[in-house]
Amino acid sequence: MSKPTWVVPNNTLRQGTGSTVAIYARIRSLLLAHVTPQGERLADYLGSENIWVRAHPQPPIFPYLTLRLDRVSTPWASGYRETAQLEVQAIGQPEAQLPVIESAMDIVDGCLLSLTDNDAGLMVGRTRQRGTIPQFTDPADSTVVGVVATYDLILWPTVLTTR
Amino acid sequence: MTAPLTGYTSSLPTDVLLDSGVLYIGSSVLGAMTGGLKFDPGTEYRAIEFDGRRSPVRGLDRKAATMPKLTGTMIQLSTTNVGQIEPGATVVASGAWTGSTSYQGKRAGSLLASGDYLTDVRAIWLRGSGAFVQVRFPAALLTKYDMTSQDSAEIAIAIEIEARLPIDASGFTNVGDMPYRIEYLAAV
Repeated sequence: MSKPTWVVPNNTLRQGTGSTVAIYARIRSLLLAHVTPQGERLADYLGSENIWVRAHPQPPIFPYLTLRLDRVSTPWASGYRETAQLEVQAIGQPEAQLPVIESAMDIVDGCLLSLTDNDAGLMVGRTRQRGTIPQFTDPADSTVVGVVATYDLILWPTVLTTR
Repeated sequence: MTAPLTGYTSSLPTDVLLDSGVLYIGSSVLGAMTGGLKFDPGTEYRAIEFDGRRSPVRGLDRKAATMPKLTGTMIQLSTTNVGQIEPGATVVASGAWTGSTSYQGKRAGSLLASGDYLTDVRAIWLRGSGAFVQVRFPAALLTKYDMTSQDSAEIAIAIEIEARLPIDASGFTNVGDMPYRIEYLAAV
């Protein structure tokens, strides 16, 4: 059975911060639209718009990215303001894709570490923690490579502030 | 159900100011800094006193003086920076030390020359809209600094820059004119 695919390529969901799904969609759009000073885009490394929420549907097509949000409201704005941690995983297979996903994550860094988006509500990203996952051993698949980064975001989502 | 009472307005995503800000001297960045920039207009008001006054009275306040100041902490010291923190310094190249360039601070008792002052010191902050807001001193003097090195970290050079009234510049010819501006701009 296929895994959930509720942010998929070519989705037409309303963007901005009007809902959690919209936040995912907005981040995904921003990542795909980001162009580095060298003219590179994520699609150059992913080969497509291969970005998913939480998990890639089966069967996976490598390399791909997944997004996952943890959100905490801050007390001084009566819950209107949030700090969020956006976990981005870049997964590749075989091992030769490691430089590909590292390069893809460089583009994600470039996008999310300079993120100031007030398309609807406000999303700001400035800091992150990033690491390359160690090589798996049997019984796990040692040919799978991954880079995981957690970005700290400031959110003023309209889903909260327009209530 | 009543929503919580907050200061939030729908213009916040446009008007919120973000990040530490950057200090420019003219069109050039002063350099890398750590921590935020602080602007204090240093305004002093005086209220007219009279017998029997029980509280300050509207209409009887006068702006008496101002000492606008920008403070921050640099983590670098370029040769250009030395000239900025030591106004009017004398530069001696090829001094006694091999390959050295020596900056000697201006002699005490000497009046500063017009060129010793900094021009268009600007503390610039990013707005949520992607535009900018700046505090600008058309003329300024870096009046105080100290340097503190730290274990396993960049040096901290704390600086204080005070505004000076450019009395010969348009808009600043009255001694009561404020020697700073708060300005909105689309691009830096």
